Amino acid sequence: MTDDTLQRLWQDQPARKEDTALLIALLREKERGFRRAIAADLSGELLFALSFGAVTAAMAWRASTPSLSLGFGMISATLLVASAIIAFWRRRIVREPSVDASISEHHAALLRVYDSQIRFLRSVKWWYGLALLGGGMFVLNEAIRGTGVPHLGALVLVVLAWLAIWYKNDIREVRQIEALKSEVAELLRGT
Amino acid sequence: VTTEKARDARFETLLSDYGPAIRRLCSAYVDRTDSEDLFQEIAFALWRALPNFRGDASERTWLYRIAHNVALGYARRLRSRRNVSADLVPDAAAPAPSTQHGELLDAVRRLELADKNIALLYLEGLTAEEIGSVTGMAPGTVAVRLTRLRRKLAVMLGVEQSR
Repeated sequence: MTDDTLQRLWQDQPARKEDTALLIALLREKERGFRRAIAADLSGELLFALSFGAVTAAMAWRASTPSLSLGFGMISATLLVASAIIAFWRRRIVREPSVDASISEHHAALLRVYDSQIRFLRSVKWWYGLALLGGGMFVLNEAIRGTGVPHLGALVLVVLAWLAIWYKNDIREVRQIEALKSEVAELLRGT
Repeated sequence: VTTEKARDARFETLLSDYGPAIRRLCSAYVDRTDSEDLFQEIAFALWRALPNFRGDASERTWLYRIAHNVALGYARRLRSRRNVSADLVPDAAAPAPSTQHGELLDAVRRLELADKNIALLYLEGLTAEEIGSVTGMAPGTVAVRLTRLRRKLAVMLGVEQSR
């Protein structure tokens, strides 16, 4: 079989008439949806932190001692700052490399993006961990002394949330990215 | 508005010139049920990239770069979602096509991903240099890979290779 025969065999198929007007309308809608999806992803992160920030702010307001107020206040403030920093970085890091580069360049860039994403995901727990380390000490101290026992529940809730964040980012998401990364690396070796 | 109209017109030309080739590419990367979805993903990527196309590369290589990068990413995500490790998610329900084109499609679909994109570019009639520009490989390497691929395809199709 010659090159021509193979290429003709591949290409000589009845071509489908594309409805370009409909497709363009669909693409415009998809473009709008794409922007909305990115915004929703970012606001999800912020909303999560804001909810916990609000709970701890309420605990600070209702706290029985100044030390407890300070502790919860610090947790709340750090959560807000951490979430703003995380949302900012996430926005930069979710961007996939340009698809109009050659296949090997695109995949090399993709590997770099995956590495950045993994580094970022593994760092999230420390940002939120700061909130616990800072303010949590005050709350824990009060709880141990017996004055802040009712507030211990809130602290446990924050710790559980931190564990959930750690599991979601460090275990689940990193595992998914590692799988994609090894596949891209394999493909890159073949090109 | 003028820019939007120019973009629409350019996109229409692209689609009329390369629509069938993109359809063939989709059918080689994914099964029939996902083919339309992949076609739209590629169209979307082209649509978004179109305003940035400055003509540094030929339109043909630019388009195939985008189409293959999107298709490879799509197939990767699909496999990750379905948790399978094959080079393609073959349409198990679809009977093996009995036409010669169907047999060729089957053979291409069975190729490893790194071979598949070279095979598809070759079947669309791109030169070794153009394939090199799309894949990022040196034209000499492409030529060597093409020789091996032609032999492999001939074996898979059970035909004599005359070149």
